[in-house]
Amino acid sequence: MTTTRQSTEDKHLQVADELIQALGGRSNIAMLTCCVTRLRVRVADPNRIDHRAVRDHPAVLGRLVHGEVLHLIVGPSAAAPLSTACHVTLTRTAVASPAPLPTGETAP
Amino acid sequence: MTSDTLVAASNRALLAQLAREPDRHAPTAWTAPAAAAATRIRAHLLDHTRDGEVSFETLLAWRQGLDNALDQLASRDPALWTRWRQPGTWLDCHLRLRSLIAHVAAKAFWEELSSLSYDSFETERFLWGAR
Repeated sequence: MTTTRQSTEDKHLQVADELIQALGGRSNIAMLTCCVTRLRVRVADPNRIDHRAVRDHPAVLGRLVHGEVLHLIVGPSAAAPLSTACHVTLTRTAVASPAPLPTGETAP
Repeated sequence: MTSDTLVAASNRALLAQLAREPDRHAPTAWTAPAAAAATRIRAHLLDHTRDGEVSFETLLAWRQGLDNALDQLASRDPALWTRWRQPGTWLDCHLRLRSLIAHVAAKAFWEELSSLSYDSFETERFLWGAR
């Protein structure tokens, strides 16, 4: 149903906004992409990450650090829609920022 | 006893088994946070033996307690953490317990459920991930 889908999209947008805030805000996101079960994030300043807020978010099943990239495990049903929602949120910021939308890395 | 009740009882027993006491050979001072988190979970299960479901808030509290404890153990003594993280150890059980609880709590979160029945836990699917 359209109403349910809209509600789900709203929830993804809400969670995306909460995660981006916990990751230091939209200006701190240097790259964000996803694979099957994870969001992959590289931030400009790791010190701005609220690790406890990220860890304790009910949508985040686990965290892994691979070099400069933080992997947030969110599950196969949430990874793609959350990635899309994050990019919607980041695109809104891009209006006020000349920086290009961060995308790029491909899943292994 | 219905099959649903049997599954719920089996899953409750699994949670209690995973929330086991740390091995007596591990340093007590180091294991104390994990022991406390596991004891709280076992105490809840013992105090609510007839409950067929568990609240979302309780699941989040269990998860946060385990996360706090496991983070402390990993940061306080990485060598002990690595040694006890082997499959089949008490720490492996706590990590799997944390994974299972995180997955069922996330299910409740996305589906906006105030509680989850124990028989709905997808243990075969969730016991092995994100640990």
